[in-house]
Amino acid sequence: MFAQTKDYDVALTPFSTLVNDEFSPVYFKNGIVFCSNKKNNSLITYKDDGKKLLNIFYVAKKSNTRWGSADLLANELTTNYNEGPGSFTTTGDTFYYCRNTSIREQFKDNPEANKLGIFSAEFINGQWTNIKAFPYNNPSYSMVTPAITQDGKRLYFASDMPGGYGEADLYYCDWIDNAWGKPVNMGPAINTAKNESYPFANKTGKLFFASDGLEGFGGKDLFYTQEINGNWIHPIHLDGDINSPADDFGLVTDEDFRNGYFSSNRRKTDDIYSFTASPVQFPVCDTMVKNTYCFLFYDEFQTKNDTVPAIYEWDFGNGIKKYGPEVKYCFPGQGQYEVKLNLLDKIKRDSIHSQTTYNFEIKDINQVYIESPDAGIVNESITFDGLKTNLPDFRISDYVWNFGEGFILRGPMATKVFGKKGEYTIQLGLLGDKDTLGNYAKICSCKKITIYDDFRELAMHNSKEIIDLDEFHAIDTQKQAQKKSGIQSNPKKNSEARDGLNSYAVRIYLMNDLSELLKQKIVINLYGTNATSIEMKDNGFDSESSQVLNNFISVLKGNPDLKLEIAVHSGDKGSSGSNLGITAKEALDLNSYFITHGINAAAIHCKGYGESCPADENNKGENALNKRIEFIFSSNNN
Amino acid sequence: MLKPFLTLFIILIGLADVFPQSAPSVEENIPYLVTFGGESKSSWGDDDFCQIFFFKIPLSQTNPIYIRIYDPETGGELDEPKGDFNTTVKFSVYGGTGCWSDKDAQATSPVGNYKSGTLLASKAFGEDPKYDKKYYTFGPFNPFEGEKIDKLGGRIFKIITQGITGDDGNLYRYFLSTNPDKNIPVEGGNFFTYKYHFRLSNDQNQVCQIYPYVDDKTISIEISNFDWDNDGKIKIISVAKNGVLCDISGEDNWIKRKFPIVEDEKNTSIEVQFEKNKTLKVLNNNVVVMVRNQYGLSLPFYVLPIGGIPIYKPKIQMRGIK
Repeated sequence: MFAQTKDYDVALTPFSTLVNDEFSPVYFKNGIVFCSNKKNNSLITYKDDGKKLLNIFYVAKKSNTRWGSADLLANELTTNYNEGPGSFTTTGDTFYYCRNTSIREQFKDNPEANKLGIFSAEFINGQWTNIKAFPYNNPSYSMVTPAITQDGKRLYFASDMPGGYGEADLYYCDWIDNAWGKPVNMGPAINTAKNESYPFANKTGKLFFASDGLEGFGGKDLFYTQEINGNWIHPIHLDGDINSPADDFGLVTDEDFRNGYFSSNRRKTDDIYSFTASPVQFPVCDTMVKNTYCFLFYDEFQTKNDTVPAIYEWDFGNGIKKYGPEVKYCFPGQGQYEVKLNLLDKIKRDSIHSQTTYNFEIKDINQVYIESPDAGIVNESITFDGLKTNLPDFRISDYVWNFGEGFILRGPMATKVFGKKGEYTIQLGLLGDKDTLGNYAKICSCKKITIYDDFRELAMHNSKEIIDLDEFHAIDTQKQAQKKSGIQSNPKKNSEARDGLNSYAVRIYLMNDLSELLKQKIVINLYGTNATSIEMKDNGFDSESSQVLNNFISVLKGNPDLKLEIAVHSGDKGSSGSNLGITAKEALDLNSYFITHGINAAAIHCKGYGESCPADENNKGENALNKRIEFIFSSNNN
Repeated sequence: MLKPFLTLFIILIGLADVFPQSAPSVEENIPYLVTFGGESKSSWGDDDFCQIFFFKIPLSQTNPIYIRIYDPETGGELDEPKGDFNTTVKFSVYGGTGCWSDKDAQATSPVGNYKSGTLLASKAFGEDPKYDKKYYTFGPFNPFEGEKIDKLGGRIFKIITQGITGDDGNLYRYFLSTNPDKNIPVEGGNFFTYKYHFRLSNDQNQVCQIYPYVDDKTISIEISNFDWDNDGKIKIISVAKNGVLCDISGEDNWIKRKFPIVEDEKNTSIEVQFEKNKTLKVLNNNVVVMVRNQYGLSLPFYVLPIGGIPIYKPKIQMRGIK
């Protein structure tokens, strides 16, 4: 599908001139700070290679169309040499900027020897002060165009330091233990034999930069990349409304890449342009079909009338074995797999009666794919990933997301926070190659996502009770469990308070986002726990309950990737307010118990729900189904 | 892990050389074949008082062969008396054209030209202590006297055992041998029948089995059993059936059940397993079994199962789930 497109409205800023250069804007207060070689009214004593020197200016934005006059940002940052471009921290009180490393007179006649370096300044008592050279400045090469991330923990910059891929490369330093770590070259996915420079990292982690080495329209062009799972994606060339055959560079934008500024010399001198994204129009989006990685495995020949006793052992080759004539298993993604089925002698158990191996390939469906959870919680961010798109014949030039406000948000990965419970439709559009008329190939998919008020609602939508997962158990574990279960009480008969104890049935759930391996570990560690109850007292728990809780603690300690949500529920005996209060207190007690036993507070969340969520809708009384504590395990990696 | 089974299979094939080549065979664990006198009641476990077996001699066999019958007479300890022994049973060996290829020869009822071919030898036995628990040997037979059947890969002889008079049960075994006095197997030889009349063990812990061969034209089989007397279970085991239960007959009646044949089962042997009742002891149970394909044609039971004893091999299937 092809469609004419004009994705950005681009306008020249009024403070750009045909006489001077203005470039590299950054947001500051209610305006922008930029570089310019316009006259600054200071006494110029030095010229760099015959060019006018660069200084840092600030211009306030009065309205959408009106701007104030551009003035020097600060005299205290202005030298007789070059300053700029720069980058402010989110709070605006620290400024990283580029400057000639020496401002002494000695370089006056030899400007080439006066390399550019990065400096920082702090805004204290109305003045930029405490100017410090970046520790990796070097008289042998330049370090330019610094860009600090929103969290202040990474500084991107360009440098022609030795060891790069040619001319200027992009590097970054991370802030570790109160110091800047060593420069890291961003690697060949980004850097070329020519120049990469003018980085800018927006709030969502997209890194915009200019390159004259990557394929573009000519001169420097603007690109963006994004670090996904530790790798930088191949740079995406920005739209034709922003890039031109001239040099286009020095872009800043908001988190949605909806509005911003960039620099270009398309009018011969460097100027600053503003841009506003227009939603991209896509045809009707297909409903995405979820790739299937979860399968039911069974023996085609097996019937309920089979009389030869045998144990079915399914070996998935990664340490996971499941038992039973039918088992469910979820693979991590597409690929080639092998499953072995051993028929074990039911009496000898370890003797293989028959063995079958099955090789198969799981392939993703050819479609635009939105990888994300199917459900989430209000006010928690959800990540959407388009990189699992499987369209071998479609060369993707950009990803555009629509979260209800049109196709604006760019990038292969996007995050979104939903403020209200409900069902939402997410659309991902892909832009392909342009044809000779400048029309993009376009294709898109949509996917529904349900947002719940709290984690418990989400868990009930998106989890499995551990009791359903018996197929995981190794034979020996089953044996032990059978022995155990003989001494454990049945929660369904044991939920009434006795001897001052408040008794809750235990229900354990595993969220679908857990890997099969983690599920297996939990099940094996907790097997039998589902057949117990928790007895709560005013001053803690009885000893058997403590043992149960210690099992959970042990699982959490052994698996730092796990998060545990604990939901305490009552029946409807007593007032709803009182029930809510009691369960909230029990939740607090449980929370304290876990934390005092060494569990990180971030790995656990406890909440009392009172009688608001009866498990047995038809009977909301004080029965074992309703009066319960739900332990919901999920992945901590989201 | 398949090695143990391969080894087992090799051992079983090897057994044919080491142990006597008999019908019933070691693999079948059936004590005796049985034929009742012509005046018997079918409720005693023999529906037609006639047992027809074929024996295949490989084309490579050129030396004489012998058919030896253990306990051919009807009397003494092994046989089943109904009152005083009064039974005569006749053993007849056939070869030559039509011995197997005549359609009546492969039928499951002794009607029409079932005695097809050339009669090579015949002998009737009554009560005769001389042959009680002893052998009678037919032969020597020149292997070339058999009917050459290329699709069976050998020359075929036929032995018909028919109850003539009387009402007792004759229990006996066949042996194929290259020696008139000893049981020396004919390498590559085998027995087969289209209708199996046999005696079950009285030991409740014994399991016996027979092996019909399913060819590539078969899409379903119908297993019929006669006079099983509800003596336990009959199970079907194959590469694709893991002990599927077969309907069982009661006293003096036939019962049959149809089973589909899947692709994996074609050109393999199927095991029909007889597992005796563990709680109710049934003694001297004689049974008749036959298997027909979808066309009503009988499938042969080989005493040495073609392709070896079938081992159930599960077939993995997967179905996507949400």
